[in-house]
Amino acid sequence: MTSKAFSGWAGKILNVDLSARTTTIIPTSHYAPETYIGGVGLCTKIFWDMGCPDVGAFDPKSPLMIAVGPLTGLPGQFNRAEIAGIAPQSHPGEYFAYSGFGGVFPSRMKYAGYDAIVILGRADTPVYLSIRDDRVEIADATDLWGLDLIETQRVIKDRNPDMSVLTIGQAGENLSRIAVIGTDTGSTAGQGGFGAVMGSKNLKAVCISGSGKVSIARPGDFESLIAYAKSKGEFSTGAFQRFGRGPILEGDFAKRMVSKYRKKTTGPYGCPFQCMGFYDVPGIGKGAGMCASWWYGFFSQDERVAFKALHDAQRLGINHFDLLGLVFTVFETIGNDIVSPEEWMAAGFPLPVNFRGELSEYECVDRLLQGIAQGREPFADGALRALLKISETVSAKEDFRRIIDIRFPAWGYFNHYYGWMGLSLHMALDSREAGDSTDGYLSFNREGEHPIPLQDLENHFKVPCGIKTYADPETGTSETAYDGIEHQTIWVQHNQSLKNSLPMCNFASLPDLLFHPPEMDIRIFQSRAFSAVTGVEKDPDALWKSGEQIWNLRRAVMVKRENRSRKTDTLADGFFDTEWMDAQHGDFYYTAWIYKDRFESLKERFYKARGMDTETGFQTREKLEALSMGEVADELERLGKLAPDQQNNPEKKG
Amino acid sequence: MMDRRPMFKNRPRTLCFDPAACTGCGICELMCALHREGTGGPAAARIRILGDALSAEYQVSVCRQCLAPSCYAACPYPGQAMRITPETGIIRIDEAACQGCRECMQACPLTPPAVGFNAEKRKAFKCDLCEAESGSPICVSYCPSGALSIQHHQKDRKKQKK
Repeated sequence: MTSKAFSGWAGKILNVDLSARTTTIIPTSHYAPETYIGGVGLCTKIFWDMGCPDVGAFDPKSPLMIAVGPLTGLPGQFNRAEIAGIAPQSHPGEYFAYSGFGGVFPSRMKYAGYDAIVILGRADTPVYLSIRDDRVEIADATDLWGLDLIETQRVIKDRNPDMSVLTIGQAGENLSRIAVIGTDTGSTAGQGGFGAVMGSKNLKAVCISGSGKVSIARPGDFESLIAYAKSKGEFSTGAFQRFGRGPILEGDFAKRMVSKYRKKTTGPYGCPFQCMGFYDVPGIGKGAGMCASWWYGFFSQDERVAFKALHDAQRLGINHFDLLGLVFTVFETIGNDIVSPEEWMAAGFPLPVNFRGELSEYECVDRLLQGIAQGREPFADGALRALLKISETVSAKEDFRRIIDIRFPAWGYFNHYYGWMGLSLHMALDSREAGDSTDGYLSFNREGEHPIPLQDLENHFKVPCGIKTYADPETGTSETAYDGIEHQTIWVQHNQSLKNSLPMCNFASLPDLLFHPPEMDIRIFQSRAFSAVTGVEKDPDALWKSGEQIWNLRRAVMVKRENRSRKTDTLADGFFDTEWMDAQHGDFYYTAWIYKDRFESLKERFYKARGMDTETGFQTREKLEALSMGEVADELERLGKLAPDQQNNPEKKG
Repeated sequence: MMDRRPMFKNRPRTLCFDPAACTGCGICELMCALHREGTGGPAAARIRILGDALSAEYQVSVCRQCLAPSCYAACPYPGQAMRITPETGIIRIDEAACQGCRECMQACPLTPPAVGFNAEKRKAFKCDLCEAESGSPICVSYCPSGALSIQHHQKDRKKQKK
């Protein structure tokens, strides 16, 4: 593909070397965008072509990538970007991962003419990247260093009102492993700790202004598609998206927050959902929030302190979701008499009086956030590492470790968790938190979550639906939880790969949305949108294949760089400790257990369905070549990480 | 020298904007650019939303369909490149006749000017409330928050009351 052969893409990738303070332009066509599309797919392809650098997250050779997709900049739920690189939040190693964000920045990046920005090196003094169409400057940021995420935007916008700013707060500067990269007030790439990668590069901000346009191959067809969504009432906020407009908390808290302080709704540029609330709380500040933003509101009835916790975390650039995981775990162990308040306080954790501590809620929030943002102990290494460190000092170490396992089941992340086996399999096979896919399992399995009968979804998409959770408090482990669930996981993984690459918001890509078979479903919609915008004609099956290619390339990165295999495709030990789980009598929220032998059988079926080797979890040449990924097979074979039966069979290799 | 100021029987209908309702989503801009220019991005839009997400306060920049339009007065080809619909007072640019001199842009009293310029086509463009089509302008049709609406003629409102 030449850069001008197709519409949709901007055609250029900006490479920045902060060490040398140089910039170069690479054509997007170097990275097969007709296959890997954009966003996560494009970043994964760039990372693979770099050779999957085996360096730490804070090494100057660790790339920080920001990518949009061919649909970014157009009306609809497409105005997102993905940040990818080596994630410092991961545990026990630092793995290749990604995190998405919305706001205004992604569209401006596209209008400025870039499909991706790849940042390498480390500046010797604080800098920010200033991009105005073709004009790129690495500018001095000495006066910005130390400012919070909102102050930084304000200072840059005062100088350049037309610019959109992507930046970090003090948590990123101080290399917190749960530091975010954010723009506006509520739009952040939260997972992965990429704010710390940016901080390690002495890069305070990327600000951008674009005056260009996105070319559309068949604008009439694209407009008709948007008109179709509108005619079906799906170009406005629906049941699944509405929860973010107010705090998802029980009781009067949410009502009080909305009636007293919500100014309006907000969301990414170009998105009709606008599924966040924007609040103005006198004496504290203004900002957007949704779901996990209310991390402290889950434990308090004081809406002002909950908003202060939301807002201060935004300012300092700390991941709301992992704050929720951290505080949830602490308060849960106190409530269940596993770790005492005295032990928590002795370990340096600030406790409020309502959890048998000594501080007011304001003091607790303030000390916790400042401790994380400033890199003080015990929070110097983020949430999970802090908990693991503290677990060494408490009397009920083993019980505490089991709780940490449940809350942080895979790869170092607090997890969205609803107790479905498909999601557990998904978590075991991914390299980050599965929050960008959790709602797919919710759509497929929870009756009443949306107006589509689950049997209709099952008949149409040919995946088992309505699977009972394996943590059903009435019946214990569900016998259905393991049945055919590998096909549900594969469907969600393909969907995950596509929506993060087109890109299209998670909340707009669920299987129950635009469900009007046979004329329309989410796969048809994405295929028509992609084809109309780019001029690359892909029917739903062909676009689905791109999803499969992107997933397989991510898998190849994990196998090559991170030694992933069947053995490591698993969850924390606590999930399989059925004896311990039984002994807790369901006292813990979301308590669940998995039978190891059944889970292993499920993994085997998954590998087989994906054309992988069931013994090793490695990919096969046959499958990779069928996906036109022969070069990936060559590289894995060179490393001895292609499925052994293929490697040892020269005839089959052809 | 002829007087180029048009004489109206009625106030023209215009867009109404409610800043308290606007979320800054920009769908008005994007749908305008898509519908009228077949492209993506506010650079090709006849309506612009100004403001920023830090305060969630926004303003609209769009042609007010002035009673005495200085753009029309400045156009070297009034009645051809720039036309006024007598019944509605809507001022529109006839792309085929526009010579791309940009006099209308410079004459617009608004900041930023409500008349844009397509550098590729070398033609001026401005909001004409999607006059050529039935129904509401595309921006009003797609505004998800109800921040945009159409203000009708005084005469029309009286008719509606009856």
